[in-house]
Amino acid sequence: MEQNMENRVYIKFPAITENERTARMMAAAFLTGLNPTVEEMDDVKTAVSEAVTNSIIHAYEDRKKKEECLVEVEFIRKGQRIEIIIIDYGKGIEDVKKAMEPLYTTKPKEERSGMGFSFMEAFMDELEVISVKGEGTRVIMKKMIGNRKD
Amino acid sequence: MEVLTYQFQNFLWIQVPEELDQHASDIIRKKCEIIFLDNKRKHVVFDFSKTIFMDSGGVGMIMGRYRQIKPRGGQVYIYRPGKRILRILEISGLMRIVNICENMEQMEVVMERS
Repeated sequence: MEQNMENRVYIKFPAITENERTARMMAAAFLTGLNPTVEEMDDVKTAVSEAVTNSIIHAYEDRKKKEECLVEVEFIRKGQRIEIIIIDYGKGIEDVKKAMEPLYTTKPKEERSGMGFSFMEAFMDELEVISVKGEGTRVIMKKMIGNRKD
Repeated sequence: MEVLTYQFQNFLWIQVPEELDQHASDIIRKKCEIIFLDNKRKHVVFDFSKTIFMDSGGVGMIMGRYRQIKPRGGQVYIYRPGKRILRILEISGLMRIVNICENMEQMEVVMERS
């Protein structure tokens, strides 16, 4: 296994709920090369799923042609460290701090739990959210994979 | 995606797909909306025996069913959840409001009592 491998994979897809799974599968494929534990794999897949779902559900809700609304995910590897960036060009988050409060959701009637960011924080080492109203949102998550000696 | 459900006595049994994300949760929610129209079902069983993934989309959907049936004295049962699912139930706080059934024997006891 190449411990100091660097890699960068970039995917782009329409903001439809079918692609929550697509993003998870891509994350798993990218992560495999770092020899993760089952738990690390589950954690990263869940965090990616949360961020991608947020973009799909919220970013483009005011737009009509959903097929033209895209979500981008960049997977970056530096040795055993991964960085995953989820990007949309949608309406943005007005108050990021409020959005990241546990259980806060703008869609309680649609049965959203408001736990997405909490899950991302629980499963990744670092989480950063950058958003500009009317322009889009960028969620950056980082994790160190496996401190084991194989 | 097809989500199989079974209705018997006052139970709604939902076969949760392999991955319970927002996409699958939306499908289950819509199906439940129609099923609950006749008010015949009181309890909901989520069959997790084939489920390997769950995120907060699933949490919201289960919470929604709980809120719907609680006023009529209904209970939410989680049937055969795997290790990962149990972890999600724990972190989300759902563990406090659902009932776990690890096998069919436990499930049968519940159904006889209800």
